[in-house]
Amino acid sequence: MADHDSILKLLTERFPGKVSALELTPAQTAVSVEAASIVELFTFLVESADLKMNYLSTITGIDRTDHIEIVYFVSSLEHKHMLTIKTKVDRIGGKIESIQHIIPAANWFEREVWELYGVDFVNHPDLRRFLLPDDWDQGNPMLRDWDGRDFIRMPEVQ
Amino acid sequence: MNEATPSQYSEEFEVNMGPQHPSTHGVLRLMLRMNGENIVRATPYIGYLHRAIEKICENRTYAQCIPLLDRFEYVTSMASEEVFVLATERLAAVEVPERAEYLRVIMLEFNRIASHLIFLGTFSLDLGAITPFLYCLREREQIMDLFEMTSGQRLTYNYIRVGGVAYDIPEDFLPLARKFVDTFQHRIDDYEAILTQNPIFLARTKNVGIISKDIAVNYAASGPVLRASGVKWDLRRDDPYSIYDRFKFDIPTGTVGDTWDRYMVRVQEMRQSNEIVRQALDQLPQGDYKTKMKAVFKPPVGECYARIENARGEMGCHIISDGSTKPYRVKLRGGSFCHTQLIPAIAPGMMIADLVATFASLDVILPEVDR
Amino acid sequence: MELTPLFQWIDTQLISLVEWLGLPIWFAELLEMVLAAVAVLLMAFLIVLFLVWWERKLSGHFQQRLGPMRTGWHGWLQTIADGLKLFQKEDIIPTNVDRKVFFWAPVVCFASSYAAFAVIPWGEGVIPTDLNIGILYILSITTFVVISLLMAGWSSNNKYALLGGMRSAAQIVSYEVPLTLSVLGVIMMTQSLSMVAIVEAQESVFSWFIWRQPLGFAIYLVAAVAETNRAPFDIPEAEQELVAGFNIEYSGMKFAMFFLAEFLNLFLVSAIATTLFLGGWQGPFLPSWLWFILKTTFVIFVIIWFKWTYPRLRVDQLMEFCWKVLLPLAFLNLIISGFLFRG
Repeated sequence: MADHDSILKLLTERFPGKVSALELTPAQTAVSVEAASIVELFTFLVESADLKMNYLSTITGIDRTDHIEIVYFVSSLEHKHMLTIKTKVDRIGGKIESIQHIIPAANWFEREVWELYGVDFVNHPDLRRFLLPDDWDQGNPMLRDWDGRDFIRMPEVQ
Repeated sequence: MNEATPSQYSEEFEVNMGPQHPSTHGVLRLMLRMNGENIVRATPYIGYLHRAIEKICENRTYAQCIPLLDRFEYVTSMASEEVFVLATERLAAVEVPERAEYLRVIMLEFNRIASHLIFLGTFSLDLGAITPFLYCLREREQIMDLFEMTSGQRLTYNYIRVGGVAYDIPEDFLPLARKFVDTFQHRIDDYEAILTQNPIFLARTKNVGIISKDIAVNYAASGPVLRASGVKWDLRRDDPYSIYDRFKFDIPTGTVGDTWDRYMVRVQEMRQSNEIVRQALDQLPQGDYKTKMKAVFKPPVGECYARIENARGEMGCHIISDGSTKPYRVKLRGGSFCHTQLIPAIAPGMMIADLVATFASLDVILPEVDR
Repeated sequence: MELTPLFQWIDTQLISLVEWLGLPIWFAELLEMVLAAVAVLLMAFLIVLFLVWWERKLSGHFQQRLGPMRTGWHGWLQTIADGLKLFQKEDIIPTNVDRKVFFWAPVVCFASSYAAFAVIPWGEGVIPTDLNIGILYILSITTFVVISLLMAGWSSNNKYALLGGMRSAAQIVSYEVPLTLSVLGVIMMTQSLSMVAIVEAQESVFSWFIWRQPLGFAIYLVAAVAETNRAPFDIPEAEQELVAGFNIEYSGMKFAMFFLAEFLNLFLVSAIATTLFLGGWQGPFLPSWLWFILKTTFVIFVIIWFKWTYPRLRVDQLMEFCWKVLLPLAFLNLIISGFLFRG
């Protein structure tokens, strides 16, 4: 079981300048990676004998109002370590390479992010309507400034 | 569709299975391309139960999120509360009293047993054996009674709260729980007697719907599905949360990853959960059942991903806080989501009856998929 | 209390009535036939009423619940209430169905099971007509059920119904073979196809054919359960796979006809089992018709017991079981009986 620091060291040596550490809370650490090298990174994570991180818990998006953060939670069942990977894409017309040919589980996760955030996953084979109704015409609902017909924002509690 | 040539006596056809079908366990829709009784391709369509829980959570305070999350995975509501509360507590560094931790474990494991009982019942129902279903519900009823006694609810408990649990257990909970734990191990023997060695049951489940180790890991299968494929991975042991490191329990695994293995893993897990409850009941300390929290709960800016071992695999919750009373973003991850994704990968070549058995053995519930 | 004197009394009354009216004597025979047919029909309805209630009660108690309890004493009026409800229901015929075939399918289904009741020996002297080829008649007339199921499946214009119809056709035709072969053993020993002659060949308990043809009985019972499409062989209407199978589009009275036929078939195969293997009406103390009913009810109980205990087989496993296990065994049984009981 490799701890977070040694994984980080391995990754920064392998991808100099592209991967950097993020300290979010004491309970949560993450690495940040450039969107362009996400496929390269995942290929390394899966194939490296020291890491063998081929278990993708989930992919999620966060709308940071000026960009969209894509978060990957990946772990290794063999070495029992986990890594959170963050990357940034543009808020409008954001594009990122799909990783579903490396880890098939990414297929539906990416479809969900595509539908709810409008991030385009390049080389994804199956970007069809997913959770929303087939006749949905109200945009990408998980964006923070999204305003639906029936959506009422609750006031802040003091 | 190709025009039928004289040598070609059969042609493929499409069957729409669901969203209203007795064995899709809710509202999954499967588009099946069939060649006679054999499946050529299966395409799942989901979203019929999409309630936008993640979006609504952004619009509610942390305390208001918990009853909403009961609806996320309503067969094991305790677990969906626990995962959210766990993430929040890690984020805000809230200390939880000892007694609350024990109560949580007791409730979680009871809920796991209840969930596996539902699995056992519906699984045998999908294989055409109707009687075990009612036997399973009989035991589940007793667990529901225990929950009702404690939280006032039978399905959506709103029991696990940030910093502890909502109520302490009533006086007559302990004797009833002990009685249940003692009788339940014999009940499992009864279920096994009616199913495990039944030749028809074996014929329907052995070597049906095999999910190999590679496929299971690549498609992010988790929980009993992953363990049935031979991967010994249990978050209670491999990424310990709460106080699971204090209990002794085995992690049952399968060998082939067929439907029978998944059934067997779950049956063994019920025995293990029963043991965990027994240990927890024995060790249950006195003391507070919740910490005093501020009236307005505002966690610091930051984020946290917590994951727990639910009856349906890894259940995860990613909370991002911007320091206000409402979470900035809540992402929920359920095991069923990935298990539904497995269907197109394993369905081709199966018969329709095998698909029903395999799908039942994955124990998917749709609210967890659609959220 | 035997029923033969009653029949003789009715007979003489009818003849005197016809003579009083000045009609030819064959008219009395015609009247008798109609009376018998109506009596059998009433009996069939009564049987179904009882069987449905009984299955629900039995399954309830197998599953540690009570079953129907509210309508009448222990819910005995429940089936009548359900029947009345079905009578009142709107008769929905979906668009795009083949209307003629859709209409006739339940009729054919019911008629074929009803027709088979003509040669069931209810008791000593209580048999609508003692055909000299009784058992052959039953085996051939019940085969019409397959045609009706195919008609229903095909005409419904529904893929689930079609799959159900095809499955049941394949299943019933296949299981017809071991069923007939298992019956042959008994026929070889009695040297008669008449139902009455078969019963009369089993006078004492020890001469029941279940002792002399144990393998034959086992094969018959299994094949009979499959013939009636009941669990563990209920794949044509496998609820969890095909929703309801061939009768998915039927409602109201048409559905009731299928339902009726299903339970009539259940009674029929049990009655044949009683006649062929369990000594028919023969038994001490009690009147013969009561013995017949008791034995038949016991066989039905066993079949219901199967249903609420076993999971369902898969369609290919079902075929394999028929052709690879039952059929060779049936032939073996036939050969052994041929050697042991050669005239």
